[in-house]
Amino acid sequence: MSIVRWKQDQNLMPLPSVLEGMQRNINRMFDSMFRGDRWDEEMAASLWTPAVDIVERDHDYVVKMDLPGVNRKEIQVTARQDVLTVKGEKKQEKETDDQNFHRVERSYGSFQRSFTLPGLARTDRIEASFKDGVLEIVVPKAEEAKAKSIEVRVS
Amino acid sequence: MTTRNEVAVVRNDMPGHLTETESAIVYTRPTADVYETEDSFVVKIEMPGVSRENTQVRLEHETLSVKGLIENKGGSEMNVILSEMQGSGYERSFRVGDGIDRERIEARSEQGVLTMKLYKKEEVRPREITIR
Repeated sequence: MSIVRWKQDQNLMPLPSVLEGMQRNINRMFDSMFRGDRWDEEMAASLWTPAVDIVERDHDYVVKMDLPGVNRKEIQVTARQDVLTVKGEKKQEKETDDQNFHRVERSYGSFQRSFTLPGLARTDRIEASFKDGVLEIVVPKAEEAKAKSIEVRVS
Repeated sequence: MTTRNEVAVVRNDMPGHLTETESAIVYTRPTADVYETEDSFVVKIEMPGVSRENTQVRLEHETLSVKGLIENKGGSEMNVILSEMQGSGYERSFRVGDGIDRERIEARSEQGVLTMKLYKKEEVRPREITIR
């Protein structure tokens, strides 16, 4: 297992860890308030978690993320050192003012997910594409790890 | 696991007459938003990975059914590291009442979201009444 999720899914944590995590988040919130820092990015971005599939192929890793209804321009893919981060926002389309909702099941708002890339990944040659609401990121493998920060444009 | 499709299973419990085949597609229920405007009902269904060509919208009697197949790019050998996406297709149905104009149902697919607009019949639309 070379690519692993960076942030642990809190839903899967046993209860004591959930409480522990909550305590930590609350503490962090108070800390940042008193210090006057801006809110922790991680907390603000945990509104919804898009589903992800990751597979390893001979020459690359493929990360797929379900982002239906998200505007291409609202998706940001970055690779910094060995962490691949996808973040963005899904905005609720407003067609008319007199919308009378009967059902709201879709999630809206910002999202952020990060993954630790294996040392073999070539972060300078990552390619991303977006089709039918699915973001696909291809991370080629290389002989050696390259530590640098780059911006990946979503095409 | 190499693809998101399950292998088709053929049951031979009714030899020679009728054979039950299990679908190779695992359908999941997609999430939807439904809202009402003055002249219509709008249904937005999330079906990421489904192209316009692989989407089927069908109105039969009172049932409006939506089906979508996820394009499968698998095939070559790969090692699954994380698998959170479920199923290889989406399926969901709605009951269409008398107030809907069956001849006026529009559907379009964009960025993995299917939007259907079901127009209300003229007689059920709100009407301004002039006071004499």
